[in-house]
Amino acid sequence: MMGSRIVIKLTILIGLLSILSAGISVYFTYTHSRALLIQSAKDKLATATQVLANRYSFFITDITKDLLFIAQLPAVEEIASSKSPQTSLQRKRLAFALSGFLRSHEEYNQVRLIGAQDFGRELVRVDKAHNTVHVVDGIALQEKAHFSYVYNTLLLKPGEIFVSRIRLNKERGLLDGYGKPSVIVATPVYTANSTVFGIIVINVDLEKMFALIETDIPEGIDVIATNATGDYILHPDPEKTFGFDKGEQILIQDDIAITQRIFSGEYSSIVSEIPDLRSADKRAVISLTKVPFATQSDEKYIVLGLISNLDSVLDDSRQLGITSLKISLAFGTVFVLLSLILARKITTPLQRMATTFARFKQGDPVPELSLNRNDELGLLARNFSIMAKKLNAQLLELNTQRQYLHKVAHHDSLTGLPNRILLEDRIEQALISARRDKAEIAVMLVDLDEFKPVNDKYGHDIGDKLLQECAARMLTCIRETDTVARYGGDEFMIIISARDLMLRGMSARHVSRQVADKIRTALSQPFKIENFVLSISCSIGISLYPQEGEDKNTLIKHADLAMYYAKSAGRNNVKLYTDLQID
Amino acid sequence: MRYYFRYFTLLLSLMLTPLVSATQVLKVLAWDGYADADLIQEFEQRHQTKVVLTLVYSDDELWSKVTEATNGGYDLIAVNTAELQRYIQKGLVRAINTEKIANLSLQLPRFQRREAIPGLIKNEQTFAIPYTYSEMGLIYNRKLIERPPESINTLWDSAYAGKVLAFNTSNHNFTLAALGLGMENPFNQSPEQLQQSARRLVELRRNILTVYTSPQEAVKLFKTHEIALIYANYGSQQLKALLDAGADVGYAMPKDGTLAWLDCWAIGEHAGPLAEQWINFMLEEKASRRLTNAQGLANTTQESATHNAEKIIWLAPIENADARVSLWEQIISGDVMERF
Repeated sequence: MMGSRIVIKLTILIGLLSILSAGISVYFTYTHSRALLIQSAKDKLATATQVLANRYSFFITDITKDLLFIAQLPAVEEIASSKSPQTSLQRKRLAFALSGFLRSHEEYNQVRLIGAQDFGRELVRVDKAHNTVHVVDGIALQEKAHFSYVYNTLLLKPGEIFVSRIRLNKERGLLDGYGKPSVIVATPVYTANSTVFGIIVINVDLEKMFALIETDIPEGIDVIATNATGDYILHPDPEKTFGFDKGEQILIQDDIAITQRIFSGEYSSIVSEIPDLRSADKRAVISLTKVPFATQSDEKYIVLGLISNLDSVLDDSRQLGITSLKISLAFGTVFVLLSLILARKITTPLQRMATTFARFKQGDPVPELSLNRNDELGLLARNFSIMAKKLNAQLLELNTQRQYLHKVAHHDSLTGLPNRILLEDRIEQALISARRDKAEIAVMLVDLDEFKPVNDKYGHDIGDKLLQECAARMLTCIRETDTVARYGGDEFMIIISARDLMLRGMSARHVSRQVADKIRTALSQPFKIENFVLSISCSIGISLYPQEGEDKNTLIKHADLAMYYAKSAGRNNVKLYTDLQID
Repeated sequence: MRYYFRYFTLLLSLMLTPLVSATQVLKVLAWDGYADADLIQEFEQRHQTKVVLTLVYSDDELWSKVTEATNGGYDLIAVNTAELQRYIQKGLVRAINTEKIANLSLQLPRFQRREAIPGLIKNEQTFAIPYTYSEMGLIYNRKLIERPPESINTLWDSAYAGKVLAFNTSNHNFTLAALGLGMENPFNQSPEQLQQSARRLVELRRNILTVYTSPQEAVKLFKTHEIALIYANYGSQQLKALLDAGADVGYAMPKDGTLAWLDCWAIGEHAGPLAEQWINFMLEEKASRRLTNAQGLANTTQESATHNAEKIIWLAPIENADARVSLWEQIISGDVMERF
């Protein structure tokens, strides 16, 4: 019972501990793996963003190269250096060359030569419409001096580049690009005598450009771009882009506060976990980086970035969490079973010890616990045995002493016979039995005649030895069931319980008379003590229960009276109390 | 025009308050800064009423709030004279009982002459009481122009060629061109007059450095290029932005044409007489001064310190916004003179 309770407790405890530790490990595995996965997603996104930014920069560089190449074309030089205003042939040649550029670059939708004179009148202009290249001419050529890409580029030195602000193209007349996001890149054209003649302008369709830049960007990752103010240029939701061209201000800083740090100049790139732009209850990672322009420009930089939904990453992490939870549950079960076994292993020897010691009684040989173990349980068992042995030895000693004390207290030290205390007890016991069995008892008082003279003549030693010898002789005259006690100096009392006799039809009176005669005879034989031969006799009085007394004192008193009567009748005599009454 | 309007309203932050009738709740729809909390509290105590103030931040928002309102709508609406017309046409506002507004007498005479302000009166009934306004003058560079320009035509002055900043909007630019040409009704031009104005605007385009859209952009251009003259679409606030940037500039109101927004209190169709009390209260000296001192807005009871303030021309609905937009897009795209 005790054992099983410990088994249960121990099993529960170990089970709980193992489940707790499994739970903690699952939790930490989950959170840690989640953090690691997110960090990895962030790192990947940051790298991808950098790649994107580099591609953007390379793109601008390529446009720059094209511009510089065009600026060097002989046709441009001819137009610039011509004294005559009529340069239609050269213009046609240049238009032809620019058409080639426009065709070969999907992302260009306009290439122009704009003059510094005539309010920035376009001199050569090639537009793209539905992927067909058109040369625009005559009255359709417009005056562009009030555009920043014109008046700013005209201030540049040969070979320098201007990049416009990215915005929705609002220049009416551009065949295919009205209202489309675009960036304009321009370089000045100088005459032979180093005066600025005009500018070469390439108008880039930003959507097509980004389509080219974005190749290889995996599904589920959105590209985001803003200008140096934070206005969206690219956003998964097109409604949010180019707010500044629609009379609104929709800034990334208002949507994602941390991006403010890029625009404040604190960071040139950031990676951060944010709510997903498409559904706010999901998580996403955003990576943004500043792409500065090495050239002259309306704005010093743009900000490019990628937003990746964390769904797949978090799914992985959740999967990992579930897997480790399953493993933990499996191990938890194993731990519970192991703990059950362990608990049994500990409690079985305890139980055995308990059973053994429960059976162990005083005086039994100490049971050997068959625990040949070197652990605490073995030690406990061994110590238990040692303790039991000590206990046993002490109990034995105590018993011996007790028996000795009992004997001393109830026996006469000289003769070894029961003393008066024990005698009286024996009489009481005999009376109890007799009353119950309706049996008879005889109480017999034996007094030695002429003992005092022996004592006086031969000394106490001889007297004592005589008493011892008397006692020995009396013992031979009675049955084992009867009692001989030393009642006084030379007085002995004998109790004869006659239950067995009565069964055989013999009376106590008869039996006691026989015993008394035997004793009288035995004691009247001479005693040889040391070198002396001594002769004594005895007087015996008998009283009978229930006829001559119902209690101990009466019986003793009547036996005493009978003995005196025997003594006074001449010693060496036996008298029954009944005899006194008869006389 | 639309975004100009939005900016304007944001900057100006006109306020409109609706008035309560039976329920003793006055619902006011207004712009930020038009009715401070302590003024509202004072009004509430004086008239044992409750004022519920709703703020708007654009004309579109104002329109949708008024048109979509249920439960009796708003009692007071802060709206400019140009916008007001469609509210009147839709019957969203009611005529104002001017006799109940004693403080009208505190207004400057030019605001008391409501019949002279286009759009306030219809069928001889007053539909709006002027409350605050913002004018569009000329900011000039003191280093390049010694005296404040007296005429809007200074924008066309070839002496400042390539040093002028115009505002990128169709609406006012056509009005300005017409004013410069001396047309009788600059807000209501015939197609021929619009063509004439367009040619005038091509000339303007040829004289400017560029056009701007935000006060910040104008400041940036002023700092990076030599600018003599700026058409101040954002009024005194834009002047402040330049002064803050350290520019040595002055502000002039050409006497031949300074356009201005005029924001008024109009009363909702279901409003009770408490609405008139609100307007009366807002014309008191305390509210008027608050408008000027705390919000930097002009009020209608004190004369503005600005030069030629009495020459202000209140903006009015234009004849054909689409036509102006279309022409302006052509102009700003660079179409040559022959195309107009």
